[in-house]
Amino acid sequence: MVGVGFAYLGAGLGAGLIVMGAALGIGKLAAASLEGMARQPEFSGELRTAMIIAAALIEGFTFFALVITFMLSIK
Amino acid sequence: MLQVVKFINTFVGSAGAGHEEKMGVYDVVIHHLSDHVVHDGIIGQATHWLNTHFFSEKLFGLFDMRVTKWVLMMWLTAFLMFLIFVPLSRKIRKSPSGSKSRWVNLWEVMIGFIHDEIVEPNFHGEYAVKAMPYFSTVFFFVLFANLLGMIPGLATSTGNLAVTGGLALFTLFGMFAVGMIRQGPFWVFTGIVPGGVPKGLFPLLWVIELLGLFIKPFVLTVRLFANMTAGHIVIIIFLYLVVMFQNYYVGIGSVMGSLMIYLLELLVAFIQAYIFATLSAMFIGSSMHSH
Repeated sequence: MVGVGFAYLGAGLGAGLIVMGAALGIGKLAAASLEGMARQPEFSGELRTAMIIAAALIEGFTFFALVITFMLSIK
Repeated sequence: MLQVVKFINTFVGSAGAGHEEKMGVYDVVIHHLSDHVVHDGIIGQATHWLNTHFFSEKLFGLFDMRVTKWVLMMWLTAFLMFLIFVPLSRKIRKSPSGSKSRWVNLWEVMIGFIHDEIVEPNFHGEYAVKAMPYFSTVFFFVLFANLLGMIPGLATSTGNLAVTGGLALFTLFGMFAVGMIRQGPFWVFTGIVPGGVPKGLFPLLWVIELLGLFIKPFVLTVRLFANMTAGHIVIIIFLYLVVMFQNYYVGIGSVMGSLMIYLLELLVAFIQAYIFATLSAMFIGSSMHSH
């Protein structure tokens, strides 16, 4: 039973850490691209596309980690 | 490989056999996330008839070929696409100067978006015309599958690793095929490493680039699967809060929260279809020219 408890603890802490990392990454990305859009509005379309693609790349790795925590909390 | 197939078959075959009276939150979540044969209602009877008459045999004694929830949803998606796009193409062909119908214009906007934002930046000129059918098909298939999953009572077929893996395998195949056709049959050995690399570094970089070639579709797979699955888990768990608290008043908050996540999921359905098509186009387009 102690092992199961540690698994739940690990899953919860892991989810928190993942969210911190992903939020930092996507936040920095959004800040930089918004700044770019504000400085040069004529490139805002291209910047938005690049931002969404980069956000998706970050999100992909985030979901890798989240799937692992989900499996930890279910087993 | 056999182990993997058997492992997947346990997901396909085991659920739906017998329903437990009392289900915990994990059972509910897993029930929504796992593939199983549908038994309830008219659809259940129809698939039961199909399953007993046509798909009861196991292919090569290994693959469970019965029609399940997600197979049904994929058929529905494909049927819907036929239903919409075949008459649409006829209508567009009939009026070359542009149709005034709102229905046609709605889809033309989306097809124009795919052409301008997804295909044209990665394939230039005449190759964009050749690449358009595949990427618009992928975009609309993923989009329809995602959106059909948002209708209560139906299921998201893209929330399944096999479906997204199949879509990503087409991307992998496209990378190899385009690379070999455009840059010669030995593209895998010569073309994937950027030009101007010192001879000593070449083997190391080649191994890394080759691994990257396979990691790209794998990440595509997991991204689409996890995005669709995660949203649905959150919706289910928000609704399940009512059962956990055994209180009617929790229902107000949980339904509101669930609705909010649902609206977010509508956005995610579009974004993921866009991302999947864009990244596929980027990966396949990058194997057209040597770097």
